[in-house]
Amino acid sequence: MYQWLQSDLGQYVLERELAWYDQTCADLFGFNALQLGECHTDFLRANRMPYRLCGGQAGGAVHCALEQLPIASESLDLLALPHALEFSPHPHQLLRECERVLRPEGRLLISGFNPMSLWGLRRLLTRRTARAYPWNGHFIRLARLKDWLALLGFELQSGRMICYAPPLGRADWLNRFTCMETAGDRWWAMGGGVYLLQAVKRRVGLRLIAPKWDKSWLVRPALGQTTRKIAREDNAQT
Amino acid sequence: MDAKLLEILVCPLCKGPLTYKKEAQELICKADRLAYPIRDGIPVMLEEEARRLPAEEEV
Repeated sequence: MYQWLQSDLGQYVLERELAWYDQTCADLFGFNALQLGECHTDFLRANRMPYRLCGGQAGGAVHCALEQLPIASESLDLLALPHALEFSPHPHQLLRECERVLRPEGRLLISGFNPMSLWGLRRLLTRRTARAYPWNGHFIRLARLKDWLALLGFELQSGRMICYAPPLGRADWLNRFTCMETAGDRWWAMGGGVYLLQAVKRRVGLRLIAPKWDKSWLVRPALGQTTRKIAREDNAQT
Repeated sequence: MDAKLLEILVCPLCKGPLTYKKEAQELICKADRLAYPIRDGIPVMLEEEARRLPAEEEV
């Protein structure tokens, strides 16, 4: 992954992805933030939480398997998964672990390659011959991922697609397709090469707290007033 | 080892608490009897890298 991100195509993806991560995680607050995988690049660099760390197979503050996170349950406020799901052998287990370690109202940021795009097409065509990153991954459809998130109790907050240009290896070829970025955003919004999602972990509270205003217009019992009247009469007698 | 990291670290298998052995640079899970090594200040929380504690070793 690291070598690929240094290539022209990798830089093209990384630049757009980091812009979204910077914009999204800048105003997310809490105590602990974790990035899983790709520890060479700090995707949460714009975030201001007091403790940020990266965990994964290489580099980072913790060396761990993504499907068996050594993190206490409900201890994180922000979790980033930059291209972790499509290269994981057990994406279900990985998402389940993410749900476990996040606090209720914790945020999950996911980026992944979109199979319903030119990038997915290239993977389909070169799947048998190319073994290189990222074409060896198992790209997950956006609808499928949304379904998994809904099942785990996540609510989708925002999301977008980027990288509409065809996945060509050279920077000057990619620059020729810059017009496709704006056109793609407008005309085939779901056909971007990479999708970015922000989800919130929701949990239903045990006690329903309803506003009180349904009884507020009723006349209050005049208990205090009667007592005062009696007291005044007593005073008059004495 | 970072104190904040120690606060949130648990055993990856049983999700139970860990004991930090500073002199041996190990994190020990009593329930699974596994000792996870800390290499250059980075805890390696992998089952295959962990040392299995012999039955007679006190934790």
